[in-house]
Amino acid sequence: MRASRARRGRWRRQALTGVRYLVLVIGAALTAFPLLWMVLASFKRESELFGPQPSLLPHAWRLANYLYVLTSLPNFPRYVLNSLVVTVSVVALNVFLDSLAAFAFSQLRFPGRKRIFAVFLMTMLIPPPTLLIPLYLLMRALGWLDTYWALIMPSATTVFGIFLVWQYMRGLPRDFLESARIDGASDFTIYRRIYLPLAAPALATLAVFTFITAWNDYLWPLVATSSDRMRTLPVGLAMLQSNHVFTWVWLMTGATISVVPVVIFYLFTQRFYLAGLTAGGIKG
Amino acid sequence: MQQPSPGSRNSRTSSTAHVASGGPSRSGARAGHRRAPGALLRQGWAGRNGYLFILAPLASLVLFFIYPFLRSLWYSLHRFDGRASSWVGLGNYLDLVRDPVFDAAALHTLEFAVKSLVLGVGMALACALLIHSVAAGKGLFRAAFFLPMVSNMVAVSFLWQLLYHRGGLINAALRALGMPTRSWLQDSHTAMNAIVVTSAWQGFGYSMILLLAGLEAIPSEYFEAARIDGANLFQQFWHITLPNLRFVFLFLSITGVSGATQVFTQVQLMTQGGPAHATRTVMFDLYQRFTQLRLGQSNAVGIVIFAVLAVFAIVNLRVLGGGDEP
Repeated sequence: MRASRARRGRWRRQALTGVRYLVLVIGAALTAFPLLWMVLASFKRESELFGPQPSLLPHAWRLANYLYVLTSLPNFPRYVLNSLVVTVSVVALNVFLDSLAAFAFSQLRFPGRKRIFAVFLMTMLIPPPTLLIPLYLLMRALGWLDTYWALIMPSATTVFGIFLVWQYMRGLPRDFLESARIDGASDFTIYRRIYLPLAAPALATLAVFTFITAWNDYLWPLVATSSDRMRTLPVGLAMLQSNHVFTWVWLMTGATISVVPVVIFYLFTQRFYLAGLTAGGIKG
Repeated sequence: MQQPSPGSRNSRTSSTAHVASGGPSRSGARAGHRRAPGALLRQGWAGRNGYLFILAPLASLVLFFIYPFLRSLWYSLHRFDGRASSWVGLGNYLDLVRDPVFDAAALHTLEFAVKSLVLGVGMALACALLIHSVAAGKGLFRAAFFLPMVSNMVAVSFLWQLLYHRGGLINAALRALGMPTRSWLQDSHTAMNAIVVTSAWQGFGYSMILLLAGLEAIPSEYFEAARIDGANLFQQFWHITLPNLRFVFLFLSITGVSGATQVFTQVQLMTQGGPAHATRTVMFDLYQRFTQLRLGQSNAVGIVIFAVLAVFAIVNLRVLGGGDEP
């Protein structure tokens, strides 16, 4: 009697677990499906996208769309190059400058460092929309509009990045600093040889997170560039809509080129990207 | 690389520590902090390096944040087309309040904030609860739900524009189910909801990750105690889970409202703020005034956004502070 009741309880729990997995699978499929549709569309003919029964898979996989987007559109490869140059520069500058500042704030002692750090954090209260126009005018005054400078310099170092590395470096012991100082090492050497390598996990997080954010940025590059050859990939992609006959398969091809590499990159660096996201959101 | 051995060094310098601390004291490092002879000299030299190391971010902050912010305040008090400017005091702000287009933008931004928060956090909570409750495959599901987050908004906008198309996939699916189809983006009743769905799809991964972390921080003893007391799943959820996620919800509401004021890409590419301003958001409004060379008004919108967010954050933190008291 008792045994069958226990068995029923176990069946119920297993059924519940099964339902949970089912819902998760359906949810994951629904979430991923639009992206799948986007990728498949890049191999299709325009007519296959519409109509009463659009097919999932292309009738015949064709690379014509990719050929067109990469060769016949005036500047598409250039968009990719610009995005690469800007993104890699922003990541490299952030990793170096943010960690240097984080090292100073967490390990070095200098008067006023707590107040200055507080000021840094307070600037995060200023929302990007408020800065858009005056930054544009500043770039214009500096002659940086439509150049890599305008795209790179404002994001070369971020308070969020400093905070991220600082949080990690705070937990590192000062013993290394003390003993290295006694041995006569300069602060920069201490930073470069000891704390920078020690902070590698935080730096990886910063690099991955900055990479994806910088690559996907749209509004600022839109405002900061005017000539087609300086546009980054998201901006160039957006321009496709206005400059050309509205051919959805080409738009989907461009979209796929802009998304798939980042997705692959993300899948390999998931741990770091998620660590970067949660750094700002969880107390402590 | 040096091998630190604090123990041995302590015993050697403990007698000199008292002598060293008799010198000029620096803010912060003081009693209890062991010093080797000559450390004060090195301390002072290190102090200057501290400033040097933060010089680049400090300069960046002043040049790209503080200065532009102050300039924005200044521009907002002028009529400005990019070349010539004339002082109008609060004229731009009055214009905005009286402008039905801006009022529409403010209203629809609020509408977007509420709807996308409810939908986004709802989806995120459901997914977080499910992932938290299963034993295997967490990483896989997490990755799947996160894919839209790493996709750039331009690609997402084109993709969903295609899905919402009159002859597109969503209508095809509805037709197959015998349900009515719509011109989702061209109908002023559905356009904003369509934008909300697209935005929630793209962004709910962020909320989910934070909620998942919050869920994993709740001690399982609470649930065990509740189960022993006979509480069912819903009661456990309502009385244990939700209150313990309070801080995450608060954080998400602040970032959600902040995000709503920055919604631009999908509006510009999918609906251009229409139809009839039904999807016009304040960021799009700011950008439009910029392209129309109404830079004074554009800056005023930016300052209004800042003020609203500042007030919202302060109010929320007050609530948070009040919530700490038993």
